[in-house]
Amino acid sequence: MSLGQVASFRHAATAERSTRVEFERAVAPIMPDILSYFVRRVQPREDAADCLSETMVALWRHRLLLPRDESNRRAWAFGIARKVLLNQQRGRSREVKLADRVRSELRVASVADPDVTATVGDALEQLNETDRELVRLIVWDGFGVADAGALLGLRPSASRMRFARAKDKLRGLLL
Amino acid sequence: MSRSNDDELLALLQRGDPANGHGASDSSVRRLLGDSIDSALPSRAHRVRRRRAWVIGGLAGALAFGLAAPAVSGILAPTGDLTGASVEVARPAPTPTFQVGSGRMPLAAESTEPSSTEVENGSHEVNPTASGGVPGYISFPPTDDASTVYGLTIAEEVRGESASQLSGTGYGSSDSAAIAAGTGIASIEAGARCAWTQEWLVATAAKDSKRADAAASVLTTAATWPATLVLGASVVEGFSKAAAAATDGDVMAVRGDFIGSCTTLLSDPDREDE
Repeated sequence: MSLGQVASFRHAATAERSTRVEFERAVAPIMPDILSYFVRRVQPREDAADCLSETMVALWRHRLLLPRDESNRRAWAFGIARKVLLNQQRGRSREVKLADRVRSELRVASVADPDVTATVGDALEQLNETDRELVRLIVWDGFGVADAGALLGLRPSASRMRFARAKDKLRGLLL
Repeated sequence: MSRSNDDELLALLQRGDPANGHGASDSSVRRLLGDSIDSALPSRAHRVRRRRAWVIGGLAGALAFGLAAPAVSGILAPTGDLTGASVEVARPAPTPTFQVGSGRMPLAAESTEPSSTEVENGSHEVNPTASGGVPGYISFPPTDDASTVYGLTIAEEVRGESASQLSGTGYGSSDSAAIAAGTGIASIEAGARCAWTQEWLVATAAKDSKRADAAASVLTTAATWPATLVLGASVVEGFSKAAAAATDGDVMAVRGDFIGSCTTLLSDPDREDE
């Protein structure tokens, strides 16, 4: 190996480390939200840790495509998370043996208000799947109505209409 | 419906969030992030095997195609990033058919296939026969020149992975650019762009101006492909500059863009301890 090649490899190693630091800085703030996203949707709950890890791997592999804008980056990450969730629900999730610590923390965590959680969960079950997911994305995951609808392939006007309709139904069930 | 009524409902729904008090600590999540990245990187032994496979493949390709392989080597070797020893090509299955957009994208000819079992198909997630989910405006260089295998393999890999991600999501019908970016169409666009960038580099080295002009034309268009636009003004500006460099015949700039934008698109780009 020539000295030039050694220098090139060193340069590549430095660049790679820099890429990794930048990537971690960009996505780390989103990860607690993504974990919560899975906790809300995955059963058993501790499997959320494996889904989170799989999402992290997918984000890393597509790191060059990460939007620079923070809100776009968050929506992008949720788009990836949604695909991981769909795979998990189809039983196609890869075995990821990295998340033991997070798994164990999730296993022992208790739901803050179990009665309310159960009541709300039952009410949400009365909605159709799209409306239910729209409500979750808006109320729990913090998306605006249009952005939540976009994640589900809905136009903003349709999102607003569906969300209003879902709230009417939930009022009747919960209040 | 009164505002207070609305607020009361939303407050109740938030209290019923199953993720309230879910318990995973920030430090654990951050550690998992590091572990997950590590898991996505290949082992050193894996990289060595793949590098050896590439050397064998490169030699076979050079013998089979004479001018073409040395041409691309000549383009890229001065950087040190894409010498035969450091490029890791995740080889697809032999002789796949690849019909996408308006272009046909056969990968390297059989003659570049090393006969040894040392070649590892690192792109285990690639689905070379899948064709769903690729927008019609995306095309790939209509060439089977082995010297473009690197760019084409990137395209193949990101496209295969994206196609598998697209399946069953129903995102394809969305007109939201943000969703297009999140569903993998941006990955397909990026792969196609890399293939056309390398097409330009090879054509320019071969002094084939017609072929280079065609590639530059696609690169100009590629900077405004819809999912690319969502990546932000800085990305679009960078791609536009690279396209302008191709139009102007600026080899150094195009080469720099290829290395910066394309060489780490492969799923196993790590070379840090070599």
